[in-house]
Amino acid sequence: MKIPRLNNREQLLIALSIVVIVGGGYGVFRFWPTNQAIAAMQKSAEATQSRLLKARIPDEPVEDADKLIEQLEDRERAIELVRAQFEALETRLAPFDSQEMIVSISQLARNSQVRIRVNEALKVPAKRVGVVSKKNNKKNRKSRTVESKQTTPVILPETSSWIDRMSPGTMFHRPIQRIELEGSFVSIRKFIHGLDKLPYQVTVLRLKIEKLPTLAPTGYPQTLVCELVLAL
Amino acid sequence: MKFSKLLPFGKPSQLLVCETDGFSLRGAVLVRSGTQVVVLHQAKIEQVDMADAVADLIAALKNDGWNGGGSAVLLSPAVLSTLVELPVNPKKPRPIQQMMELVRWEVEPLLMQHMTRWSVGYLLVGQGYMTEEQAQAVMDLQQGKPNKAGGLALSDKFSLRRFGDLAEELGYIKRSQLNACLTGQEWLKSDDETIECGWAVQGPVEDIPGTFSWLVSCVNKSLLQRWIDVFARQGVKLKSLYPLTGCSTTLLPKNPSSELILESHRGMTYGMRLHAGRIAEQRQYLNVTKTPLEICLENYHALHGAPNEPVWLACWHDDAHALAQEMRQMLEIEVEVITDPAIGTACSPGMVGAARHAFGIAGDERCVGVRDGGPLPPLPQRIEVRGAALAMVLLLSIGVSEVSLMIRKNSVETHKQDVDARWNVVDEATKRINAQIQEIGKRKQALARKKADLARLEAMLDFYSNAAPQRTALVQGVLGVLQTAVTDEVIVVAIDETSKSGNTVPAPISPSEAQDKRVEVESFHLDAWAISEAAAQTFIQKMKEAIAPWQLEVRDAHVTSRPGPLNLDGFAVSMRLVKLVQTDRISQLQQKAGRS
Repeated sequence: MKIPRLNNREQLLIALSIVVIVGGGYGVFRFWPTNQAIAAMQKSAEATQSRLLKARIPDEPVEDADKLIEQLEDRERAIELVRAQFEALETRLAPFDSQEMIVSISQLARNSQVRIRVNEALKVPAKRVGVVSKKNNKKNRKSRTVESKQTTPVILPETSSWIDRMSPGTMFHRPIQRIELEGSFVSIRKFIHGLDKLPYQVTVLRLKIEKLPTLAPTGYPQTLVCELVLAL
Repeated sequence: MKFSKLLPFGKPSQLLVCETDGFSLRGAVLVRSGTQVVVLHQAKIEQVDMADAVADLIAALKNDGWNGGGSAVLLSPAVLSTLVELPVNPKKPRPIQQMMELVRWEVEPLLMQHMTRWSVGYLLVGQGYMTEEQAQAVMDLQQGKPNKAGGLALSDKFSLRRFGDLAEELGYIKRSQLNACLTGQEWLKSDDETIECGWAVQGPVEDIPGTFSWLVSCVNKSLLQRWIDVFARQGVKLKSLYPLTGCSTTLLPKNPSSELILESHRGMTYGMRLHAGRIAEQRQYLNVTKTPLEICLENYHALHGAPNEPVWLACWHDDAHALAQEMRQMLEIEVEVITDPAIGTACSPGMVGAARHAFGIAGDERCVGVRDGGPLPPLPQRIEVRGAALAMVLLLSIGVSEVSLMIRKNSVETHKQDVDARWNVVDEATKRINAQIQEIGKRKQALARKKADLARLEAMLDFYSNAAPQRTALVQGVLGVLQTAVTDEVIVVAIDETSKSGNTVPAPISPSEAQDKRVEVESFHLDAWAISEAAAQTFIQKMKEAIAPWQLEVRDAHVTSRPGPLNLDGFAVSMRLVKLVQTDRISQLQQKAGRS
């Protein structure tokens, strides 16, 4: 190939053009992207280092997980023990909707020479413990607060009435029966003592005894009205 | 030692060297071997048409095993080699074009004079086809001078006729001989006025300051181009055209003293004086009628050789040593024959010298070739060198940039790997500890749930097995107390369990009761009627005593006068039988209930 004769000015211009093209091409297609990648890597490393300096390793828990497991197993054994005792006790509690128990009470009243005026199930409103949970809803600020009630069995204090303590919603909930009796003090007392001898456990939740306005004939015991609320 | 000798860049390793005297062509393929050249292939062609001669020569060389191609140089008598004095200091070189004009100005008349040698008559005499006298007679006839051939009578007939035609008609030569000389003449001279030159500085001219002696080789451009085309047709690139004479000087070692060199060609002797390795003087002596010894002796005397000046002899014919011996006897001086292992029958001393010059083994100053386009400028001014330098600079810049990028990338990658490894350690430790905390939290929650379940079960167990039976017993006990406490003077009107709440605490009556922190858990309201106030108070007293075993107390006891049954005067008695427990116990039970 014959190289054309070029003067210095033409050579300089061609050299400059080559330098611009090659240098520009290298800079645009190689140096700049690589430099950007290196800068990004550097930035990433600095960010990681910054996180590293700010990072705080949480303290190791002082509790021993194995000991907790042992405690858990101990408690499980204790629960099983108590549950066994409770199951034995539970056999003495009448099933819910037990007509047999009501019949037994009626028979006891007849045997005790008291007359049952009212024998009905007492509807007691359930005792609830409201648990209010608040949830933030960013989408709808108007409905940010949502209240939900969760029904959990409760144990009312001893200062509460016995009816409340054994009402629905409580842990000691039992079916409650309201009975009005007529009879003498002795027969009413006999009836109440007879409740202990029924096949299932009966608890007197409320006691009200009143004298009838009319006086009993001489030589006869005064007739009383007794209102009992029983937990079967 | 020059750097170019250590690393002979741009110098071919194999070269075809050809030489022509106008009527034959010989060639040899030489290869460089250290500071020597070695002949690989050689051939000789007797052919006056050089286009055919080159083809035949290359074919013969290929038959000898040469692969062909590559570069070639040619030694031709058409190339003039001469010394010219120019006011150009080699330390301050002129631009190529300016130098070319200066050289052309000097050598143009010399080249024209040189080309007159290649007249048909000279060639016919030189080839021995006719004698010098016959040539003179033909010229006399051409010029109308009286001559042996026919006198004035013939001069009118043969004047203005061509030399060759006239010699043929006179019967001196044959037509074939004339045609051969005419064909050979075409490769020795040209009518082109453009001259291609090459030059090399020799040294300053002693008596003219600022003027330097330059060895110049020159040839007509059209002739050079014709040779280049002929070689190109055979796939060979003709690099340079060298003069037939003078190239053997490159075979001599550098000698600081003065020495003479005589090149003996057929009908010609070329003499040079070298001083300190530079050509100080040159003379060419032509006479085809004289013997080589006579011509050499004449040239030696013309050079005014000193007795102690070494004389070197290079012969283009086989009897070099005989000629040297004769010169020794005649001149009584020592004459050395220039020898080289490459010199042979088809490889003259000039060919070997030109090869050494082309290979870069010998110095540039003793032999000059002519190349198409003139001599190459100095390396820094060559466009290909500048291009290569630019490419090198660009590559170097890119290399430096790449190295810089690589170092930075490696550094950053190492740093990042280190930081990432440390972060991974911290992250793994954090995750491990968080998992432990979470696991322990879960177990604690499970433990709390179990605790709550246990408390609930215990509460239920306690309630159904203790609290509920105790309640029933309390009711039975209250009824029993009433049965024992009531006398004939007292009538119980009603007993009722008042509804109580956890927050309801009766108002204290006495300061001691005000300090009582207990709360009621059982409360029975009792209404009775006594016949007398004493009976009422006695009843209250008996009730207090009777209910004490049941942890009951009498509260809010009131005795007021009120008619009783049958409108009898008496006293109404009201009281509350309450069971009180400490608030601490209540709160403990409540907390227990709350946790469950």
